[in-house]
Amino acid sequence: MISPVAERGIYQPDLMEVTKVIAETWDTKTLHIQFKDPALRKSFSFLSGQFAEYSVFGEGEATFCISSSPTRMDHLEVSVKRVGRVTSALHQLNAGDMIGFRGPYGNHFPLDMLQGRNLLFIGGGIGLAPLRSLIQNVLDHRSEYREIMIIYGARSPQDLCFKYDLEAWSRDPSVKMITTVDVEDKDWKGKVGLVPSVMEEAAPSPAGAAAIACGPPIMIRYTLKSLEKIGFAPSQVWTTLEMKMKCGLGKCGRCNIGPLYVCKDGPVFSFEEIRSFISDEF
Amino acid sequence: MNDELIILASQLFDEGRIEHFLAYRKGTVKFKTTPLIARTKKDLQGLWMDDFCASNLTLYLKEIKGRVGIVVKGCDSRSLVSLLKEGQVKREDLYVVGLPCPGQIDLRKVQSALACEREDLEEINRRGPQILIRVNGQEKALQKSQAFLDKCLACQYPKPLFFDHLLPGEYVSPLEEAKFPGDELRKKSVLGKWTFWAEQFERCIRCYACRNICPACFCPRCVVEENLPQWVSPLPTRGDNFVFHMMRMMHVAGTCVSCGECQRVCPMEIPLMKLNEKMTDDLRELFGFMAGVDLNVPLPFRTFSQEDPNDFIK
Amino acid sequence: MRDRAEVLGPAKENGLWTFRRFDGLDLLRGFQNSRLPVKALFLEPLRPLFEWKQQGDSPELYSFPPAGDERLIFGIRSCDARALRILGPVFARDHQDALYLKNLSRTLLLGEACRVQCEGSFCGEMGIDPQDSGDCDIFFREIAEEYVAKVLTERGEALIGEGDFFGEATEEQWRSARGEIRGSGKKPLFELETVRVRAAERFSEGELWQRVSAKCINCGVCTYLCPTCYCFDLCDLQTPNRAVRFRRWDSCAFSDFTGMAVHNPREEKWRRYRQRVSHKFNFFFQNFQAIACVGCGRCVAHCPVNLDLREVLLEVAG
Repeated sequence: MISPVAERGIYQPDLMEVTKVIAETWDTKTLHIQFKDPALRKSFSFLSGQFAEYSVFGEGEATFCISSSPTRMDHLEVSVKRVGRVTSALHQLNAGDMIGFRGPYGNHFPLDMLQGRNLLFIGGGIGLAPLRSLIQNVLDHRSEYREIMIIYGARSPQDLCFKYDLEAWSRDPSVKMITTVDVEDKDWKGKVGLVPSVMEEAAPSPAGAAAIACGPPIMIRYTLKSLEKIGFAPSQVWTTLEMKMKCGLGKCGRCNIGPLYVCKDGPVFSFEEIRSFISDEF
Repeated sequence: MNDELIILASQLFDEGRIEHFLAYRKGTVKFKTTPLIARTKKDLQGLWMDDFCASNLTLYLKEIKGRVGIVVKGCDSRSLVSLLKEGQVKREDLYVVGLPCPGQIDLRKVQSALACEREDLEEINRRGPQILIRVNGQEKALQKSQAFLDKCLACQYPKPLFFDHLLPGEYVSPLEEAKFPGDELRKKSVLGKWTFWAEQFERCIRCYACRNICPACFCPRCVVEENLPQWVSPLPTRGDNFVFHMMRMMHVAGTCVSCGECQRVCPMEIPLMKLNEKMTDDLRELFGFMAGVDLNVPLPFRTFSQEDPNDFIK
Repeated sequence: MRDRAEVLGPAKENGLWTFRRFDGLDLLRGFQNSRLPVKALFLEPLRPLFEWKQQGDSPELYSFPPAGDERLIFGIRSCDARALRILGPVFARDHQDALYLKNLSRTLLLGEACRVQCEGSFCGEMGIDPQDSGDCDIFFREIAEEYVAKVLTERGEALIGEGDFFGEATEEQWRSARGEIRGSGKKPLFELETVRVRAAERFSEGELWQRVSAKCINCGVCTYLCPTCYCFDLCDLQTPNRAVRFRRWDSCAFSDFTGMAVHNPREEKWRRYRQRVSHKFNFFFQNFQAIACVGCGRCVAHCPVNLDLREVLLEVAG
């Protein structure tokens, strides 16, 4: 018996069933999940960039973006890198297991500002997860956008996530897909190089373009430098920021950067906004 | 005495013998001083010591590394001995200045004895064996046993066990004969003790003031902060509070010198020293060991000897 | 009132003043303020949220709903009452947190004017009048052997109407009941607006924050005893086949508060201290148009190392 929503409290999750588990890499898995309550399956909606709080009951709750697109709603997808207690517990789940889901929270990628523009997606490692929701979203409305370039890199071929998507995007004639690794192995036939330098080499034109970059903080830092070098202004570039979160609702006081809460005013920020942050603590 | 110390510390800075100096400054509330952490001789300006230097400054050696000058009372110096034994400080990095201490006032005891609040206390002075207190305009007198911290009544080491310089003054215990706290709690049955502590730990809010003020708790990452596995739940339930405090006592056993800071700073006034005292007495009975007095005696939990009691092995 | 509602008043328990079920008539002798702020009755230190039980194939969730019983707290001070109002919007905006809001709505606040300035307090500088409060339902001032009460809300009116404990009083009686506050009368330490502006301006001055926070030991005393601090953690307690998720108090002063697996943005102590002061005196104001401090003085009186917020604010404003 689950209490009706009004009485339920804002911290109580909905039950989600795991329908599929995909091992992306040695430390990353994607879970396909579906609301247990059929009514919620119909009524739930979200926007690319939003996140949710996922519970493994008894272990805890952790924050991940929703890595599937709102244009494909037969199920949701969440991609998890195993780094601690809750993520380890999520990695031990099988199809049929139940988890808790609270969301969607946060702001979203500004689709309206991307329409009609050339788009440059830059992802590193697990950073492709939030980006992927947006990329699929854009590709599902392809005619609303102009040229699309996707640059994705990981440390090594073993660390590449969403290989099935990378393959599909490589085969898509309307998309320029560049995959790179920092360190190759003997079977790797693709590009070798750090994402920022590969991007500079590809030299996408900044005129009227928009760039969205997601990845580890150090990659983002260098990517922004490279983007500026080739002529992108901070107002043309968006990213997602990550801070430790608990409530996801702007109440527990943890994820703030100055007066802004990453769970409410983010996680999507433009670099113009980031430049104006009073705090460097993120 | 303050001027003498400022001159001495300035000299140490000038000679490049220290990078930090730990002393006291006048407190901003009555009957308290506050730690002074000087990084240059200019920082020494507010230096002030009086009869209310209760803080154990050795706690800052957890985070201030390198060559440090530090002011210690007799009891604090025992913490230094413990830290030396634990390898947390090096003797050559320390310049130790001894501070004479007339015994520290336990403001909670005073409030209780005079049935008043903190704000009612106007002045506290010592005169011989008496403590003179002006409360709400009236003059009252208390015995040392009614006004001093328990640890001061039981003081057996009024003079620092080692030092580089002694500030002038008398280094004597407040009482001629050390008075140890009563053991009414120990006389209770197991159920009686359980009931007592259950009530106490109901009040603990897990602020960790006790742990953070303790010089013996020098772990960079406390076991309660570990969640893989979650050895101790961070939730302030009675049971988990029990576990936290018992575990902490066991962890500091052998290093804890009963400086009493944990009890003094607990905002919920939990009598944590009772746990320390029991542990200290047990260590003495079982291993003939007293923490923080002899640099040459190894720590009990680091050593094994054939003479260790083993009658529990059946 | 006791028959139909929970009545809480100040009582000394284990040497500490606390608010608990009101037993007898021995009122408030010597009571200044409670050790733990009244917020502990609204945003509890430990609060179960929901329980998960394995039922057959699938887990089921059971809520712990907000308590609904009417409640009356008397003896609350202006500072603590204001703090409850300051926290209101945190839990009311966007997602409404019924746990806190229900506690607010089911509780009548009967405040009492202060006659003694609490150690370390600076309520005046924070714009709070210790002898008047707009945040209670009824506010009392002691006069000779009686009380004069100012009724502020409809709920207060309704309470007054019951029984015949109250007679009419005049404005004049109310004003004359404003008395001296022992220990006060010193000139204000700082100007709040200056502090707010300077805290914002000096955010990036690392050297300032390192200097003022040097002796902090990163415990949670200031945050837990603070009436306007509200940071919390969500935490599971597990037994076989059953788990409960709790909300518990947490503190931005703790070293692992913002610690993630790969990175802790506030690794250094001075950053955490800067966050505390900046949040209360700058960021909270930007979000809620109120300063998250009521000057109650508990943090000053009980800091284990006497790190005095008043001194810090003076230095920041300078």
